Amino acid sequence: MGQHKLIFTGPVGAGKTTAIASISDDPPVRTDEAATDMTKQRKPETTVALDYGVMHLPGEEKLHLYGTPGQERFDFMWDILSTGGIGLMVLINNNRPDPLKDLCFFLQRFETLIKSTAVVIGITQTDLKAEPCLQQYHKVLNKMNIRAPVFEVDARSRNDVSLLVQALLFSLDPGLSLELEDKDGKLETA
Amino acid sequence: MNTEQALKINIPGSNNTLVTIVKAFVRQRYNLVEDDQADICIIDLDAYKANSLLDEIRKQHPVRPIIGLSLNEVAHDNIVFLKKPFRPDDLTQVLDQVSLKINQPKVIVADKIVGSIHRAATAVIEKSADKNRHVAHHGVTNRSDSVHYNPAEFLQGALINAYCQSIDTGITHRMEAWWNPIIIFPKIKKVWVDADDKNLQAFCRLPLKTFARYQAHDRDVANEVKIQPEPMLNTDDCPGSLQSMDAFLWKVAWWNAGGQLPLGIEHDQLIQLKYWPNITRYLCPDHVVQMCAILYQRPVSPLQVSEVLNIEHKEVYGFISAAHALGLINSIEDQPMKSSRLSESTKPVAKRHNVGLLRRILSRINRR
Repeated sequence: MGQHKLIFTGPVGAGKTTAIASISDDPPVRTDEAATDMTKQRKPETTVALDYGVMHLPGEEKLHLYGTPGQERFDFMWDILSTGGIGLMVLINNNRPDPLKDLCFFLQRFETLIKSTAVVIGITQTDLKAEPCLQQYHKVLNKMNIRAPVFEVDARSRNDVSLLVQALLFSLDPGLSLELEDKDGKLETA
Repeated sequence: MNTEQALKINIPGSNNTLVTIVKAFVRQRYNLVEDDQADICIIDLDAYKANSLLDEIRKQHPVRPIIGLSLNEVAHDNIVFLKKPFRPDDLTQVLDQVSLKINQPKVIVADKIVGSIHRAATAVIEKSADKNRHVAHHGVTNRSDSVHYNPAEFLQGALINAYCQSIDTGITHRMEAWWNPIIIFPKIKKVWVDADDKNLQAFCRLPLKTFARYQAHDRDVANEVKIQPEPMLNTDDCPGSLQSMDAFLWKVAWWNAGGQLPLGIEHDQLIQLKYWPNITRYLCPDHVVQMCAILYQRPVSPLQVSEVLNIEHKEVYGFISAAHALGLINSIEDQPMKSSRLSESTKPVAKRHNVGLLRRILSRINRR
């Protein structure tokens, strides 16, 4: 039985927990605690250890969806969670004071995973704050010499999160063809 | 307001110097009056507490046009900006512009312009959609055997011109090109049009010239695409939802292309995506994510993309046309690609991953 991991990371309030809930087959497991520090100004509760969801694949395989805690003081969890991940989903909250700096921080912090797999970036809360625009994110990525998909995402929308996951999969292998499961869980090329 | 009478101007919160200057500049054409009688306000945005004064005026007279004077370029919503220092002509020009606007009805009635051509085009798309849903979704038609289309002959060309004018000036613009007016709000990067996607797609099927011939008996269409500033128009004047400028241009280009490539891109030419389009907010038919990934990873020709995905050329060409309209396509070289192998175009980034696993995840995420 194959066990695989997909990692969601990003700053506090970026929508990691919500994004996992959008695509998880089972109700997600959360480790929320009442926020006591600066986070309290953004939301009443925050993830302190991890968020966990799962996608059941054919043949009893599982794709575990892990969300890292947003606060830097829990960063010891980041390496533990990201080891063996098939790729990285970075969510950036556009409504934070310096989202471009947040992006740099998380890309640098997860550099090892990104180099060995692929990364996609979803920008959330653009309805609350339109700037910085996507072009500014692209400039940051160019400076860091990272080529990665970046687009706006509403973490509550399954379609948006699904497109982000698809972007990651096709970034890992652009020649990937879609296969459909039959009733027995076997695959057929579409 | 009686249009025969001179327009009444109020200059709140200003010193006598500005009042004297304006009075000298506008002479008999406009009257300086007290706040409660004015048609227009002129405000010195560089003055002390100008912002609070502005807020107060907006609160008391929400629909009154405001002309803002400043030494620096400033971007205030719904203010006609005039940079200092200005000449008498500059001021009267702006005042005339605002005056004209005040005397125009604000409500936009789209149907006046389109008439029978619009209905006919809508009928075409409805018939086509019934016949072949897939074709309708991708905007693919068989209208030409040619590989290329010329964006300048379609709504796309006129729209890009209007975008440029609007963005350059920072002023709301209105475009009319034989169809419903399109209003462009450059500061919030939104457009408004009184039509749904089905109608828009129908209009996008034909070159503008064709519509012009129907309505104007072959007059020069270039003279008939009207792009004009609408400084006093705001989003409240536009019922319904606004669309992102980029998302709107993306779908217009896709539908204008009708499954063809824009002039300047060859089917065997190496091209590459500069960066991913904002796919969650754009028209996103099947295979868009995959086309993005292939064209982003390395230079590849439109034909190769079609071969790799085993899809019709027209689907790929529509995508490339939309991306090209947004400036997302880089042409790598002028010479057509002949030697590069197909397999090199879709090299997996992470070889260690089981391709089967990725397929199973993809299948799962697509299924629900």
